Amino acid sequence: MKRQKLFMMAVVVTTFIGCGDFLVEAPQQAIDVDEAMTKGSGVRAMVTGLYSGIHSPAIAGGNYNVIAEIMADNVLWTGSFVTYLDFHNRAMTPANANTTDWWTASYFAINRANIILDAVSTLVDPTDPNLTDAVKNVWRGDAYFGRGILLFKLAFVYSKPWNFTVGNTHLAVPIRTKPVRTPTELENLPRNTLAQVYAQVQADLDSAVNLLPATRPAAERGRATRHAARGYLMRLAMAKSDYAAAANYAQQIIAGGFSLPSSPALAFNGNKFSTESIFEIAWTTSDNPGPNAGQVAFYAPPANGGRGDIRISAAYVTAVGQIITAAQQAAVTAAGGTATDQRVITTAGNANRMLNGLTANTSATLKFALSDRSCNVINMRLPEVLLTRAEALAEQAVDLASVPAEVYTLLNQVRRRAILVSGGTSNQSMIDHSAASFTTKQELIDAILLERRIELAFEGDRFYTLHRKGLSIRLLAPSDNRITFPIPQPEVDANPNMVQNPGY
Amino acid sequence: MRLIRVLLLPARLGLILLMLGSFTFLQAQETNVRGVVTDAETGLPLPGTTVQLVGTTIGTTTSPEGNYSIRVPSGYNILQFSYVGYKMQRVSIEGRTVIDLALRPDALQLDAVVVMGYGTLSKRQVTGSVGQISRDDMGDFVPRTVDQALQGRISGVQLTNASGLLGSPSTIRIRGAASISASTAPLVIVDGVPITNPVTAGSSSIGQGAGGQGINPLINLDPNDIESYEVLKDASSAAIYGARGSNGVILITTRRGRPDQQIVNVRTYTGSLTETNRYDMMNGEEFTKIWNEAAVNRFGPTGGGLLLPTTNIVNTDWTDVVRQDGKVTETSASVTGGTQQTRYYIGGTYRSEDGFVRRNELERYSGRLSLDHSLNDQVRVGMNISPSRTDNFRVYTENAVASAFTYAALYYPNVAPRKADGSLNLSFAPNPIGVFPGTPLSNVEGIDFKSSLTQVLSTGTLDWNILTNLSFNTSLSVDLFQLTESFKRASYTTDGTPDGNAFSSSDQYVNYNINSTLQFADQMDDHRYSIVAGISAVRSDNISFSAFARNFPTDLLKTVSSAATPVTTGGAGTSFSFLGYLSRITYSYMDRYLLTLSGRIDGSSRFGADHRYGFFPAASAGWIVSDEGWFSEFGVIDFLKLRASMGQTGNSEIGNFPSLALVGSGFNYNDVPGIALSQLANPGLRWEKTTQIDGAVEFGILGNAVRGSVGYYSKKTSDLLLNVPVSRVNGFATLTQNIGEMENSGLELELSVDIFHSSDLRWTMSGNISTVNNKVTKLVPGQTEIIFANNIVREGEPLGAWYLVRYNGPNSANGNATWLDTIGNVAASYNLLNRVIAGSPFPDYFGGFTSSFAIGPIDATIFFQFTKGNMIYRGDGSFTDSNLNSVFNQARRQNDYWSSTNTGAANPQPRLLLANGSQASTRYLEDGSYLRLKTLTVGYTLPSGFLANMRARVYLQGTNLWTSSKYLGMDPEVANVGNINQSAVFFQLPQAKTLVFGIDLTL
Repeated sequence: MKRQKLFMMAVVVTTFIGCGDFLVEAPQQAIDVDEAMTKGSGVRAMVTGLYSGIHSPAIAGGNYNVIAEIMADNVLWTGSFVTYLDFHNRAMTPANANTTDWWTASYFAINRANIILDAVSTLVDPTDPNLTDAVKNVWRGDAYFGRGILLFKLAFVYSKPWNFTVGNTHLAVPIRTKPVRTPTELENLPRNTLAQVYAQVQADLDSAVNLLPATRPAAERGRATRHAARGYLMRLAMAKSDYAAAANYAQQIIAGGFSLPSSPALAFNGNKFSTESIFEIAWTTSDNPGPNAGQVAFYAPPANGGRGDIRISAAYVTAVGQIITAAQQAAVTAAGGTATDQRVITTAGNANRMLNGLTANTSATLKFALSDRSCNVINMRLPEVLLTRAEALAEQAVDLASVPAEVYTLLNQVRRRAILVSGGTSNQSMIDHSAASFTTKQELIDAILLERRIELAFEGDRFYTLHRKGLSIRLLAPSDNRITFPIPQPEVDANPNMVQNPGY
Repeated sequence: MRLIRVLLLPARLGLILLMLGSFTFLQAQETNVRGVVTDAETGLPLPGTTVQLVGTTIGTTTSPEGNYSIRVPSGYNILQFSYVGYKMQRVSIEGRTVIDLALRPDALQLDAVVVMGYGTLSKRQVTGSVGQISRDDMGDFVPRTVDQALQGRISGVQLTNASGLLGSPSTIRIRGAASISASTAPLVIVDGVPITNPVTAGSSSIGQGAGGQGINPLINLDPNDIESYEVLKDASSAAIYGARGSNGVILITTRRGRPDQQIVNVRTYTGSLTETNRYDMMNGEEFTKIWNEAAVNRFGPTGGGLLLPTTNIVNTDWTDVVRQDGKVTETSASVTGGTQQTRYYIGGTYRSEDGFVRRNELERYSGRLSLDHSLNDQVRVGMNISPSRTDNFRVYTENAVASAFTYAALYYPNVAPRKADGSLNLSFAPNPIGVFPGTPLSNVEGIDFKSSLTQVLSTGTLDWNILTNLSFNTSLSVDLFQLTESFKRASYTTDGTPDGNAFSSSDQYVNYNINSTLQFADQMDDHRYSIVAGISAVRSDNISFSAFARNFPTDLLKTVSSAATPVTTGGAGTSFSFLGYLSRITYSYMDRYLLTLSGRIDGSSRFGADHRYGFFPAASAGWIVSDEGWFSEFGVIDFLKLRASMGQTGNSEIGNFPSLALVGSGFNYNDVPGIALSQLANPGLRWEKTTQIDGAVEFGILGNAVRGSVGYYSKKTSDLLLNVPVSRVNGFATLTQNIGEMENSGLELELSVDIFHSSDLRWTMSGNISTVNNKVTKLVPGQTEIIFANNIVREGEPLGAWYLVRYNGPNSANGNATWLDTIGNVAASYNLLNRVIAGSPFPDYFGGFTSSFAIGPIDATIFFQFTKGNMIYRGDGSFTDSNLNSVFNQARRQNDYWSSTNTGAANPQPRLLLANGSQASTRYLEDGSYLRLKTLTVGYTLPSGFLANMRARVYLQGTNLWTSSKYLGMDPEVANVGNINQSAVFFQLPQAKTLVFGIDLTL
């Protein structure tokens, strides 16, 4: 008994050493935010995190393209995801997961941009020898670019079109320019007007043009350049029908050293960052949207690693047939040649094949058909800029006769690359458009839009073009309530200052 | 090092209590008392009877001949004799050295031992609400997994199986759901050790979901090894588990050796396993017809070029192609025995199951060794080690295209599974549109998916009877849990296309658990009291790795290292710890006025710095009315006990680091690593609190032939963790806060009736029924509801009430689907603004009933289980019953669709790829009520002496033999493991129907 008591006492003595830290565990996969943002390495990683946010499949990494195409008239949705079917039927609800994710992913990324801008303004990190002012300026440029394009795409889908009201005082989306890092920084911001949002987009992208480099080193491929920023300024100007400004931005980009490869197929799939690419969202074999999101999943047929949910529409097949006019086809035939539009090559085994068939409701595009799903998203490429300048110049002309010759040059530059006429270069001009091809300026503009439809098919452009031109989108006007996205229900529920769009 | 310090902490506490207790210490002489214990009715000896010296911790058990011998220090005079199924008796020694005794059988088993947290009580003394299933209650039924033992057998405990796939988890809820964001799963404790439950918030499964449910974390426990299950339902019994007790506690006690009695037990059974139900889908001809009509309705007479050929139609029943007749075999053996000084239990089991889906197989090997050894009269050491291994060859679960039964239901019936040469037919011709790459058959044959769980649970214990009425107990446990998973998907499968891919992962959990208690018991005249005080520390570490790669040179190669292109790798670790100080005081006066007080101070690394520790108190009282002298006037009532309790418990399953502001990694771009803010800080975060009151009447009438209990409980949970939605313009979707309140209340009734009770004819019926009334009472200020797709969390309504547009069938004039608006007028178009609360996912009542019958050597038991009034959202309906809005095959009942010649049809006009009534609505909300024959057993015990001196019994046993339900899905007994969408199902597989033949041998 005595020995036992002694033993007990010994045990007690040894246990008086404290154990107060037993309940303190530190996470192993995360760090504190304030500490991270005082380091050059932390902000650098946050800039990557911003691009990671932009490349979410819910927005620029997929749905900027996918949803826009489903809304418009080039495709038929045949898949099992009802949230996408809602876009096809123009029956989105405020609960639609994809519109909700578009909103959410955009503002999550905008907060990263705001955190970067706030951190860079005071960032001093003597331990980081690479932290120069030049580096910091590029980061600021990245942040302004990111915030600018995200706000632009938000306003474009959640707002009625430009000029829906006089002075564009109709509601767009909230502008958030202050970072949120703690609960005390949370706010319930109301929607700003479209005029205010577009002004903010203009300011952000102007800053980005000044801060961003003209080209990126290989390690930074997939990040914005000043041409990409100008490209979005061009799109913004077109959305506002400001043709003079748009033509000017387009001109600056065209002078930036981009060129068209011999075939349109050379801008897609494994041909990453081609010479015609202005802004691309990078996906890789290890980082891609997987089998249930993004371009490959929805566009690529099963044989190419996709679900094949998106098929070409009858309207698209019809439009393909109108690219070469009857007169042009007659000239080619008379010369004993054939004209091949490389954008619709369906022959299996052909390296430039871009469709697996041309049967409405059945065939699918092969623009995004790498089975490892690593296809980049071609967000902006030279033909769009060429055709935009052509359209903007033509729109500024008072009539067909006063349309400058450059319009035809730009249009034919796209056509000659796309359409091959057998029998040598002398025959190539047989598919050119000229003033003689048209009787009115509108016919010319329609031809430019048709070219755009085929050239940029399945890249998300068609919806944007119809929308900004005020043209019918499968029988609905762009200002129709069913075209404007509903404000996501979670936002309406959480934010008492949020106003829902009409019709929802 | 920290752990060792914590390990030693209890000693500090021990010393204090030692001093407190020593005033009763009497240094005195001892005598010995011996005798024999027999059955009063048969006169046969009662081996294994517990003999206890009242007021001390001195005790022994009787030998196979019923003999005992016990030391009695002077100053103690009362011996207590107890044996399961017999009335406890107390005898005054009065200086005698030989005391023989005959015990009478007791239908109420008031003296049976009930395992409580950190100690045991007799059933008589329990004042809280504790459900118990002992080995005897289970009879000869051995469930497939330990959790299955609880289904339908204890009031207030609702167990729902998530899927019929082998190794699937179940959802267990005790008295409703007490949380919105955190887990609603009870704490499961095996021999004092909280079992590995690595998953937080709302789920109770582990491993790869692979499209649906993961793996049952209890799968490694062998039901053959279990002595008893105790379910702590009310706050007074669960409060001793403090911050982890809110969802109730399940205590599982494994078998240990009994002295002087070597028993060898061998059990084996084998039998068949099939699905209880399957979908009745259209054949190729029916599908061709509806497809062509749908295409014409949508695209005009040419059908948009999508028409199917109407000749030479193939008819394939894909379910037939992917199913198989399963089988199940289990053999277990155990030896138990020992001497008064050393006792042992050794058991081992091998189990093999082939499921009803091809390539779904499970093998479990498990062993258990428990050893108890007395060093001397005062010190006893013990150990318990149970290694186990489960190899689960899995198939994809329901919510994955690759899942066999799901894809079989959806795939084109007009395509042959194989070509003429016997190879896989991977073409979807003649259909114009493909579904997914791969066919149901190619997915079955091309996917190798295996999970292996290896678990070693080891416990060492030390019991030290310091004084006759004071003992110290400590146990140290280490639970090693290793889960490895791998899959290979061949190039010709849905998810493996085009060049094959493979995944491999390893998760390791190590849980350390230390419990130390001091137990003190004493008696003064009619006052008896006992005190338990102790400390408990838990620490859990997890580390995991994973790799995913694709591009295999050939489908014959299976592992990640054979792939050419790495895709992702992962590696992570996380930890949590708990530290609790606990105490329970029980007091009784004249054994009929009972009082229990308990409490625990609990701290956890999961809570914010401002709220690291919490206090969880409880009190309960009981009155055995029938022991009052005046009571005997009430003739027919033999036993009546009233009890009531109240107390507070917590729920700490809130994730490991919810209170910190974190920048997370993994926000990469173009393979450059990036970071982003992943979580806002909230240092005030703490556990959820549940305050519960509970009251019950327990009774026995007509010579205790009818016995049971009626109880009521009310559970109020406050400080509910809610991910409070914030304006997403801020860059965050939610902020986690302790806000919100919820109530669960209900009645619980248990009843047993002995219709016949004699030595050669025995017939007992028993049953239980429970109600649960769940209601969310408070949400975020300014917000009265949170909408989750088809569910709503609204003040005054049950958690996750169904919130759907009401479907009103087709318009007979044009075949358009119609709906109802909120006030019940017909609406021509679908609008989410017309959603209404359309039903509750909670049942009105649920329970089970058993009838057991024995005549001579023949015995029979039948067990039914039921639930009534819960609504299930059959998510697969929008695929199988969509009047072809997609390309998927349709249920045969969809043949009744609207056309100009069938305007009274049940279903709207099919329009290919256009939604016409297939939107989420009450069309797919169905009554989940069911009555199911869970088990039916018929056994025959061979005459003694037939096989030497062995007792042998042969039996036939069936499970899930019959089900009555209106539910259109495959099985109404299905659940989603989520809290809010708990009964939203998607192609969940039916339970298996088994029929086995078994032999039990006892030597």
